[in-house]
Amino acid sequence: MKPESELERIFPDNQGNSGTPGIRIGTVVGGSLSKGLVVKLDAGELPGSMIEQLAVGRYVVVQGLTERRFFCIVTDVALEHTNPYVESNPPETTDSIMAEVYRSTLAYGKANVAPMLVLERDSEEPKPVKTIPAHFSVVVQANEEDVEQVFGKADGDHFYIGNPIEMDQVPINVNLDRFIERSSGVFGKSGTGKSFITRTLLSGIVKSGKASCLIFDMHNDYGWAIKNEHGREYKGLQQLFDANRVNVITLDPETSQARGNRHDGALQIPYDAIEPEDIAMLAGVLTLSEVQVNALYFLRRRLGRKWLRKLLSNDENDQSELDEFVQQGDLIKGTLGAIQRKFEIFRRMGFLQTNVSEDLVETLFQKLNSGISIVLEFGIYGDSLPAYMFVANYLTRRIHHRYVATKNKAFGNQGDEPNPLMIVIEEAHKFLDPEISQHTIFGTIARELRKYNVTLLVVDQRPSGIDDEVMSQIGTRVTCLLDNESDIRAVFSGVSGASALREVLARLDTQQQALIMGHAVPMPVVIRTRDYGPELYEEINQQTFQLQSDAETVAQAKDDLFG
Amino acid sequence: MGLELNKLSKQVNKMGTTVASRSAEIEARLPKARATLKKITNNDPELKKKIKRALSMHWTGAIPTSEPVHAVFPCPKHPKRANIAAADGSQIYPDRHGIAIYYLINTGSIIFRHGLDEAPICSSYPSLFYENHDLYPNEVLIPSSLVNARRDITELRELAQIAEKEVKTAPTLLMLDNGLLLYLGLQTAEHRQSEEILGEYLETLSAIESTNACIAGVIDRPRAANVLRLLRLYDMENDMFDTNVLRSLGDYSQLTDRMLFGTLQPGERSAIFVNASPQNLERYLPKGQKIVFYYVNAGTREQPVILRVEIPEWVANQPEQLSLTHAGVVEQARFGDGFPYVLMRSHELAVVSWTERGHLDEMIGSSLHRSGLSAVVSRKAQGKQWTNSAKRRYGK
Amino acid sequence: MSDVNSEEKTNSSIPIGRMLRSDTTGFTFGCLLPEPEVPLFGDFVKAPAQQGLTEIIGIIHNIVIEDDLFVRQLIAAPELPEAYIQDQRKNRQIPIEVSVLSVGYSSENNIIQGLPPQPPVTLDYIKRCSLSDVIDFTNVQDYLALILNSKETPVEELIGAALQRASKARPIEDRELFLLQAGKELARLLSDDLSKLNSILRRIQVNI
Repeated sequence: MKPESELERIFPDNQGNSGTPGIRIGTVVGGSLSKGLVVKLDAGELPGSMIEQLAVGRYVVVQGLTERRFFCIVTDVALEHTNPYVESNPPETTDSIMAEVYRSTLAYGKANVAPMLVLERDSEEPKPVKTIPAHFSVVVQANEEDVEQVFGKADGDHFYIGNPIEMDQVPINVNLDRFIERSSGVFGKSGTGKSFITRTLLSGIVKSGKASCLIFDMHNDYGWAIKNEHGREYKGLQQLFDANRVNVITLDPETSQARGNRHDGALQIPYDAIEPEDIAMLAGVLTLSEVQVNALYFLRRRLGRKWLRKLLSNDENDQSELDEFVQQGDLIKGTLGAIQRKFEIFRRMGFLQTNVSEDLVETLFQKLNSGISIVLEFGIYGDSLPAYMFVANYLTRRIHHRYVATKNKAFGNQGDEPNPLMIVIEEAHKFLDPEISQHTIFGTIARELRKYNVTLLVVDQRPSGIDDEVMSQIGTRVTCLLDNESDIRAVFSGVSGASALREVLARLDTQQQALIMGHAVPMPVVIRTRDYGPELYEEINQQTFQLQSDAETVAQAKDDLFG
Repeated sequence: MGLELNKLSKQVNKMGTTVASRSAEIEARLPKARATLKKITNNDPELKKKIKRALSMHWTGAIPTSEPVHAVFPCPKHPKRANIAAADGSQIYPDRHGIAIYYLINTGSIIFRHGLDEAPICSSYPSLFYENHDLYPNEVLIPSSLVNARRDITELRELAQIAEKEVKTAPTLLMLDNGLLLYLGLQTAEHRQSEEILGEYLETLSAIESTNACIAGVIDRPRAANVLRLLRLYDMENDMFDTNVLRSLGDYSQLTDRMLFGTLQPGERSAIFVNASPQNLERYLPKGQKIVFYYVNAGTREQPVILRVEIPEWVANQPEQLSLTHAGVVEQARFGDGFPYVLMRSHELAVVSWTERGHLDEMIGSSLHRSGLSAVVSRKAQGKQWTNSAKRRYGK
Repeated sequence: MSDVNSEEKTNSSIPIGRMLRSDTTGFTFGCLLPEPEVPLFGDFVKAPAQQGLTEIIGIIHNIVIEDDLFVRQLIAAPELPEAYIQDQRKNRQIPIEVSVLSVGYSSENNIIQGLPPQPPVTLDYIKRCSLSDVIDFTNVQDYLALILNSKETPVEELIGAALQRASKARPIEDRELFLLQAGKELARLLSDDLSKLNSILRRIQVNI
């Protein structure tokens, strides 16, 4: 007689759940809403083995007494006993009966599970928990129906991102509307697959057409083909989508051409367009002092639009103009020298030009606003953090400005509102450092939510470097393995009840596993991320076709209606 | 209220000293008796004369046989193989207060194959008597003595049957837990029954004689004084004694033959004597079943047990049969604490316990009930049942 | 114990004794067959009660061979021939008193584990439970608590013996599971007395 059968008699299977019930693992014996539930594990078919079949991050369902079903995540497992004598006098392992009896009764496994969602009777949609199941409620492993019910099916709004651990057949879908609605983050120490997850997410977003992405692609990870460390090649976004959906703009046409990457244009920035604000944020990486930063504003005011060109100029006239400021006592010579020395770096940025034929900011804005995502490839400049930050800051400030203007002009007229934009930055802690995040455009975007239809997707390996206030605005957090305690703390900041998930996070596999929590998922979930490969490519193709035909149908319908 | 023992303690103490001093006084007279026995010679014409006269006066002494009266015979060798059988009976007397009037005789028997390692054969046969002619042989309820007589004859018949088969395999010794002289003690009204029973008893003895088996009646703690009476007779100055003198034991009063032969060593027997009782000489003798007896020490040196063994004269006359009775009793007594093992076992087989009697009454009650009679125990009987200890046994 | 079935045929419902005295917690019966297999310590027996309305199920916890003077004197006898020994063993009905702890009863085909409403009556026949009786009764383990709480029985030995008996009544493949379930029940009952628990568990090995 198996214990399951007896219990099923006492606790008949919930009628709301037509599928096969999950494997029973134990009963609720204590706990609280804030600290999670304590579950006494059943002995299992092989007594005592239940605990080994469980893992932190796994889903369980608690069948409440009132037909409510509580979805929970396992946060800790422990060995317990009813009598301390067990510890000092464990049964002989050679005595199989005694050991088995002990493992079935006096010694047992205990699991802590965090309740996340509750499914009310006759309700399809899980809601956040506000109470906990009664004593001795039965705990079962979540089955596929359970997980599907929580995460929804893949459709235009939901994008398949991976599978729960040990449930290869069950897709976990991210709600894309919610993902772009607020800023999001992808975290994980290097080598844990951040860029693969990011690429997967981006392909989903691009495909859905719900937002345009502006990707500051520091390491050429997103645009064209990418090779992983084993030499295997993966398609970039440009290969998955046509030019109506994705454009690649490069800062380094020579390298791009050399690598055979197709690109849709080269980015050139005129010196004269650069404002001190574009550089002030680089104070940290350029080790500019406050005095030096203030000097930049002074120079801009006195020298006009050509201030930077003059600063970097070798021309005698320009130099004597600067010396004049020193002689007048407006600038200290050391300061000027230091600025000029530190600004040497701009000379090496080939994309800075004196004359630029096209206003690229406007072009980018138009493309983004019309639904074309832009991958900005840095080429060789990717190795230069100042160049990366400078360009990201420069473009973001201007594009954001355009979005603000457009949004304000629309006056709530939805048709005129700018297309939602998600800006992807890497090494985000450099932009969102507590020292500067108050003053930079990225801090602003993170804080203003989607007021102007612009959000961030920050990709970072050191989330502890990001300003707490910004971090708390990150709606959806996709976290690969982190082992630094402060980083782990950072990703959980502002997530209620998340402390229980720390153990889960610290024990992720080094690759292809991630904990997703926040705005875009109904409850935290540990996934094995889906393979970025042919299957995904195929799906993108099909979806594209479907979307197009949908659009045609809608257009046709409109014609019929107004025709 | 039951017996108040505390009120008896003084009397009991006094009784102890009295008994002890009397016993010492009796013991003191034993040497004289033993000396007298030594003096008697078998062919003393004076004694013969005295015996002859005494017999005419219903004397119940012991008549010497060819063996010297003070002779002592060591225990002969037991045959390697012998069949020793014993039978015993017990009874439930008719009870006018019981649920129905009936009586029961239960006979147990054991056949012990000496020299073989097999378990003895045990059996018991209960017989229920309830017909009118059984219960009222003389128009009144059958007396206990008649029930006893019937029991005794049943025992003997059982042994006769056993003898027929057993003699075929080995010399056979039959034992009874009783003397062979049937004591009837019946009223004159039962004269007819007593004649019948005695006749049957003697016939059965003859039947046993014809099988070539031998038989012995073994009496534990015998109170008889037949030999002492012979000594008393010897002591008479002449043969001019009267009945009264003959009846008393004189110097030997309160002594018993058992005490007299207390000097027997383990296994030894005394000489054989003829029981001079009128029943023996007048009833048994004419049928060729004269009964003789001897005493034997069936105990140990530390704990002598003097038994009286009664045998028919035809057994005494055949040396092998005589030795078998002697050796058989001694050998059996080794495992019965001085009393033959087979007799103890046959008693055990025959005895009806209180609870068994309860079962029987229950069975009879329900049988009566089925026949439409109500079975009611009289209040007196019930009272007895309630107050009796459950361990009480029905025996002889 | 390979031929459990033959044992079943020979011993199933033969009366093995009659009731001597009883109370609701147990009873004592007299027995006349001191055979190798009957009666045994730890064996399951049944007795009628309430005029046949119920059948009490009990476990033998004590067997007393009563004192017997006859046997005593033979013990002292030198060179006791075999025939006397055989007589004592085979012919003499040395009464055996068997004490039984009541652990349940069956009433209208329901098995209840607990003390019976009435004890059996004097002289009722006591029968040995058949193997299927034992299996039916021991499918539920509540009776173990009754044994544990009994005052006058050697609790650990008795539970060990009874469980072995009940285990051997079952097919070989069911025995381990049965003993495990019993062990778990004991562990629940004895969670505060593990030395007692251990001593019982050591007695209930499958392969004995």
